[in-house]
Amino acid sequence: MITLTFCTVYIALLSLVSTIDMFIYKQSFLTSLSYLFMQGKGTNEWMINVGVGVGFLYAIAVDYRLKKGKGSQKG
Amino acid sequence: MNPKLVEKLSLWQLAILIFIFEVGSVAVVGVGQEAKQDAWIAIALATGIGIGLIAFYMFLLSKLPGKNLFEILVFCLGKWVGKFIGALYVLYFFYIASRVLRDFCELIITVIFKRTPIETIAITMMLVIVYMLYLGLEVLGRTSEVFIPYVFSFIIFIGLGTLFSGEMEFKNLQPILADGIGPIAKAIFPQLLTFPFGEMIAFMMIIPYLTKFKKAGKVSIAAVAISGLMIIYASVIQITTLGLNMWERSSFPLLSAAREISLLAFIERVDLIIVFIVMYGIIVKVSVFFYGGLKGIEVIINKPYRTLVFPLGMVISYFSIQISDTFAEHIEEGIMVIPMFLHLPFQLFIPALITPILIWKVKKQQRRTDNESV
Amino acid sequence: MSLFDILFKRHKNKQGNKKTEEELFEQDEISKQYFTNLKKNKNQLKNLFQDTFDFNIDSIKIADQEACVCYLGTMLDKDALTNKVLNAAKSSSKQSLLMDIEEIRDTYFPTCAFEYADNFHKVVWQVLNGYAVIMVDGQKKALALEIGNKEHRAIMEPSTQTIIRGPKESFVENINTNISLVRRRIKNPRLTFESMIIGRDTKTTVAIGYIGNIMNEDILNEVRNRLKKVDIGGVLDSGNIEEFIKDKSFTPFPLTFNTERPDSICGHILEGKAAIFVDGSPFVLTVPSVLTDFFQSSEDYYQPFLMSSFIRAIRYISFMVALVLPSLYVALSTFHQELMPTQLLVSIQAQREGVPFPAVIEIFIMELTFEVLREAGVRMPRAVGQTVSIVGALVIGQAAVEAGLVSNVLVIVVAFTAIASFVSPIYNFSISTRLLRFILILCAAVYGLYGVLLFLIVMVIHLVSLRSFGVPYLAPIAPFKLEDQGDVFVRLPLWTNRTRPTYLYTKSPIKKEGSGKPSPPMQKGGG
Repeated sequence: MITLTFCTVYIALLSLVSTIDMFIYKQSFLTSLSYLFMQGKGTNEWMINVGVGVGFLYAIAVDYRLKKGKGSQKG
Repeated sequence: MNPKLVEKLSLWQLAILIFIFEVGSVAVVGVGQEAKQDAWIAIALATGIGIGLIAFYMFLLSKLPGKNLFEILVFCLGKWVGKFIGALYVLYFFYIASRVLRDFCELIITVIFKRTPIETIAITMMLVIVYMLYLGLEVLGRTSEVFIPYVFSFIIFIGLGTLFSGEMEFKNLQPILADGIGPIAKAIFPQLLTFPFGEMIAFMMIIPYLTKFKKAGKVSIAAVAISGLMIIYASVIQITTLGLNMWERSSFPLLSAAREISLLAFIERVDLIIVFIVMYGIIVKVSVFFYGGLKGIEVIINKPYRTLVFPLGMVISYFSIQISDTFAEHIEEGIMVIPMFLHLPFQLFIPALITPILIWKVKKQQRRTDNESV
Repeated sequence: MSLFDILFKRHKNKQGNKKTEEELFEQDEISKQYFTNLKKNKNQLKNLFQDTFDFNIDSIKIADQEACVCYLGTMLDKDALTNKVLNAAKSSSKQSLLMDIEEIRDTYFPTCAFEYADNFHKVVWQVLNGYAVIMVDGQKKALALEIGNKEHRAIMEPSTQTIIRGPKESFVENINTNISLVRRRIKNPRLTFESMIIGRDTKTTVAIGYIGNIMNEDILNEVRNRLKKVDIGGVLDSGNIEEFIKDKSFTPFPLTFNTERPDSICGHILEGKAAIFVDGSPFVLTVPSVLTDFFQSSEDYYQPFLMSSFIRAIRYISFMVALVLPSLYVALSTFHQELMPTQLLVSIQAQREGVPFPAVIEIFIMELTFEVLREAGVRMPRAVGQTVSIVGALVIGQAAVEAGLVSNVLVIVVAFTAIASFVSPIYNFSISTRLLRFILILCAAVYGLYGVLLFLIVMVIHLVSLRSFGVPYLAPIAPFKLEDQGDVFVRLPLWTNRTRPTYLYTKSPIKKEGSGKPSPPMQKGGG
């Protein structure tokens, strides 16, 4: 559930941001989306990517633990 | 444990939160540039409208005491439509949170860390906010209680400092109303209306959790009024110290104004004070929006929000960088797109739309309970 | 014993509810039965104490009955014992009436403090406590007499929390003396001391002291519950108890207040807090405690209020100085030179010119040196104290600078930080700043002032989230209580202070009625 929420929020925000970029730069949706994933030169975008990655792993871990907790309660 | 010893958000804390929320970032970024030297008049008028807005939000909340914005949406529009609109609100809150966070990161890298990667600042800042929200809303309220004296007195100090340094030129405020009402109206609508006052919509997620809900209306109106005064004070400092030209060009006018302070040949370069004000202001602002979004998710998926704080915090720090490549683009979006397409619908139109439905439904419910009791 | 029984007992042990004397020795596998046959009892005791040289069983005759006195010779005053028991034996030898144990006590030991032990555990317990236990053949109970202990440390001046004006007594190791020190100050029948026994092996007496009609009942229950839950082998100081009853372990800040000053404990009890006395420790805890307690000294109330307020301000400032000064030095000298006034910057940089290390390393070296010196100063034998202070002054001061290892400014920074950290009236609060200081230096080294601010905000968030027995740690600042502000950052005159702290939710929030403001005598009219 946590992971699902995480992904939904991530994708939804991604599309929101690229929609706004689309209006600003007057380009197609896909172009602005692909710009988001491109690593800008001289920036340290890997850091935030790592951040999101850690967040994602954390979400999975929490989900796994919740599921296990529920399972042991039933069993 | 003992319920008496567990305290929720008090009225005083709410007032402080509203104050820091409103003043923290706005006082520094500077608003109302369209109105030129009459910015303070525009802000005063906008404060009036802001008071109207918060009164309107309070009216909505008072119809269903104890329910937050999302529960009201579900109540009015039914489960599915309500939750869908709610999800849009969640996105809106998160998006604004990342924008606000970006504002701060830009300030830090322009002012004190010219070579530090902006990403690390976004992440560290977000970690603090995550920690705070993980501990709960109460902690946010109490932390603000600790910091409010500093935030408040620092802003006052900047005014006095510039005044005594002899940098203030009150001539810069003249002529008053040179171009008539036009520029003022342009400044108010939509910019001043939505930022900072319209953003109060996020407090619709907090006010229901007060200990004394009944007095919340008066307190929040007073808080908005005081923060309006403070913003006027800040903008007067900015305009008188910098002059119109500099003020319009500066990205962080209060900071530029504070740099003029020089007292006793020792108190110079008080940038740090500004950074602190903004830092705490931003923490509060991001936290309030983030909390609003989290609470919304809590309503939608029916799970406590605590486990979500960290992963979604990371998402926000991610988007605070991704929303725009450069500061120019960030500002451009902030002026062109956000007020019209995001702020206005979410702050005004949707609440306005649900008002009649809410009144009608509440009345219907009341009639039903009346009938039942009779 | 069935398996079920064993399991059940184990479970009971885990809960650690061994509080009453009868249950104390259950885990030690000592039988509980007290026999009417004297010989059996004697044997049981002998088996238990076996080889201890100081355990004595002396056979006597009281009122023509076979009896014995058993005691630990090292725990009591033997002369007094001999006097009392011999007298009894002598005077009873003339009579040949059979008396039961109660009559024996009433006749021969009328003034002694006593207790009856109707089971064997109690007998053992009283022997261990330094009582002389008299067992009479054919009786169902034994008589335990308090003879009076021998050695105590005398009440002296406090060694860790000294003051200039005010009472100069300090607590000692004996719990009874400590309680009497408090009782003598608060003559109130509602002043209650509840005792319990904690520690599987040490069986230490712990007492909770409070005033019944002031202390909040819920907080008190919480204190009782937490103390009951303490399950520990040995209690050697109140510090052992402290760690078990804290709300949160993972924090550098002390969540219980400790002092060796009776007047300060009395002040806390009168405010509506509970004091925890531990036998064998001169440090008494009070709970709940809040952050501002650690900035208050009992002397504040004995000095003129203006002076006290000023001194309090000094304490708060020095707390901040002790916390952030080194990190500010690092941040300013490495990241934000432009924030310093030019003259200052020039002089600092000029001094740092010959220093081979970056500021962080420089300050780490000096701070660590200082910590080592400080620890050495506490631990070393008094006789070599001089040496360490002389060497320390040389190492930390002149020599280091002259050798070009550190700059002069840095020595000032470190020295001032050190002195500022000693200002806090309660030692274990000041040591919390030591840890945080190092973290702050690291933050400053990585992120400059932004890092310092960030860490301070995190620290405040942490402080705000702490609770001490349910009371927010930062009360009355956050949550803000206007009524309590008269005694936080400033101390207003005592006559204005009419209420007890509201955050303690006391049963009688009003301390006194009326203002009681002193004023000169009214002038006679007409004159």
